Amino acid sequence: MAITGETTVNANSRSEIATRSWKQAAREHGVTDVDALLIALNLYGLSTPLGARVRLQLSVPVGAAARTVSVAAGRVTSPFTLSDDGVLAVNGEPVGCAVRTDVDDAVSGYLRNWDNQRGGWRAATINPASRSRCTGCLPCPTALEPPADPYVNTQEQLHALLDGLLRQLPYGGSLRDLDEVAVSTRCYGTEDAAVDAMLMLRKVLRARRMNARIMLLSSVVRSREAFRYLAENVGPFGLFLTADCVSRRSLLLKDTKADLSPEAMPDLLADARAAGLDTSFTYIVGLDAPADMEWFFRAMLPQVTLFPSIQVMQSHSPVNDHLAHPDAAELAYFLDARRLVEDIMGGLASPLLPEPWRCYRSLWSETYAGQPLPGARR
Amino acid sequence: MIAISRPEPRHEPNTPTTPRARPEPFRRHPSRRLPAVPGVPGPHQVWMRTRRQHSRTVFILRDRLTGVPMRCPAQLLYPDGRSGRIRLFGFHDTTLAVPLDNRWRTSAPTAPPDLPPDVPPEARTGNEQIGGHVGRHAAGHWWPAIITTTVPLHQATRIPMDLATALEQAGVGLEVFAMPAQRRHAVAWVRSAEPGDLRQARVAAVVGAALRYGDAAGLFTRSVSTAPSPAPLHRALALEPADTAEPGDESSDSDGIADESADESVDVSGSGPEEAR
Repeated sequence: MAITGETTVNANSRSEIATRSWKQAAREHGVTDVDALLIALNLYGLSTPLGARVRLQLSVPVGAAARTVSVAAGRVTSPFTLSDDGVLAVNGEPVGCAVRTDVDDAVSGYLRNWDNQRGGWRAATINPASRSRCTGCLPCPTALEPPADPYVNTQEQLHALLDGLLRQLPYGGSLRDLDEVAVSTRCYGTEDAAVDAMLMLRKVLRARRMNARIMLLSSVVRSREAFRYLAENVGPFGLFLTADCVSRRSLLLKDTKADLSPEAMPDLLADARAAGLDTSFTYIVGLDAPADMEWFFRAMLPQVTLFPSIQVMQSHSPVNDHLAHPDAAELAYFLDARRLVEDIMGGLASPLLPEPWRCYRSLWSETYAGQPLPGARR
Repeated sequence: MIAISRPEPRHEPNTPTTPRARPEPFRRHPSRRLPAVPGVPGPHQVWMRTRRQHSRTVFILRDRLTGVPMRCPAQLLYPDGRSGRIRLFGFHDTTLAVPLDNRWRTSAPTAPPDLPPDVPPEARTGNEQIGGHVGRHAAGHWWPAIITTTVPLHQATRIPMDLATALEQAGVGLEVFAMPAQRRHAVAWVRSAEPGDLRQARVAAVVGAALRYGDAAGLFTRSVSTAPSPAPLHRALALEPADTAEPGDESSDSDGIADESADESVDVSGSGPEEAR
């Protein structure tokens, strides 16, 4: 078998069909064009000759407030293109404008949750354990990134990392303005290692008189003892359980994540909540059958204190395409999931709203359950 | 912040009138891994970030740990332990395509212009050390030299033997995936599974994805009857539990092959000898 050369997929007809079908699906689901467009952008990525993942400051439509969007690039079958001057187009029709484009390299830390009123950042995400070296979970894009972010395992290094964030604050800004420091990193491997790392981070934050809540994205912290210890010694603390998917977990995920069964997750979150921690979870829409999603959301949503990070599955490579659920090729699958979550959450005693800045590939961008969505976009 | 703006477009075409010497393939330096000394003053570990803003692309050297942009020219610690200074230059339009990946960083069609006379000698030395080029063509390899010096982007990606065997039996190569990052991602995913049923399922998934993608993209000049059909592979791997999906029987002889012993085979880093051929 010979290969004729660089990829030359002629995807025009496919993408036009996809465009028509997703607009129709959005109308049928009562979803705004902007939300549908951003879901589609996350789903299909950007059609560029090369590229792994880019982070955009994107205005949709042109002139709207910019939001942060991280999407796959190099997706030759996508109907989305981005011109050199930043015009985002679908099948050649301009639909938005990127005022800034960054390589989505794994970095040691970055600031989030821009507070327009106070003119400052309210949250930070740090990746102290060399996130880009994490491998094993198929849907995660970090393995595509150059492994250049260092492993930070001393208090001095954490201080240096925070000093770097401090220098990126606007004039007069302070790290003490941060309400939250999220830790999104390579798996710590064991519960003890994760708890130790959180304890060290809290010591560093205390030394800087920062009382920000620490949010850990992890699936290795599971025991009631650990939850109690974190509440007493590291709090304020929250756990974003990296659930990610329900089915084919051993195939798709690394073993330290896959060995946690979906059935055990609701109780795990309940234990964390009972210990006084904030709770939530991450989930990737695009890997499971709708029926699996439904029981999982019904079991998990009552246990969260923060709206979960429910993400559009971004396919960064042909292998991801290959292992996505077949229904996930259509936008309607994602709009159904969106409606499902809204329905379940609406039936809870204390329904929560998505915070757009938390998730750059969310199912919700501008509206939620038919209402405008408040909050920072980046 | 170091923000290197692109130069004004040249008036003359950028094609050389005489053919350039073919660059030698990049070769891994045995000690090119950056030492882990974040926070240590002196030579910095840096990496390049690119950003496109207001129709301009800027290249920023950032401290590897703190993300803080560095002053330019920067004092660097080279992978071989030498230190030196580097300076960034603007690039021609054709280099500034939006696609952001390793490949265009390393094989930018338009290299920076000839080194200006004020480039410090130690920087030239570093360039020669990494790229192995001297003389007038050194400027043409300046950009790759900077990147390979400062960012460990080009570690060779080796295909484990079981995956390589399965791909070969299916009549497809991992280079069907256009981007080095995609190949690295697939290899890492396979490698993270222990030999056994799960590993075989991942190998089969990668093979199936390569066949399916290559077929859809029209990359194959003819079909191969001995290759497993992508469709059944997709059905099996997408819809059945991992422990029952064994479509890659042709790779069963890989069971038990450790990664270490399998790390013999193919470099798919995209910047290594394979791509340079």
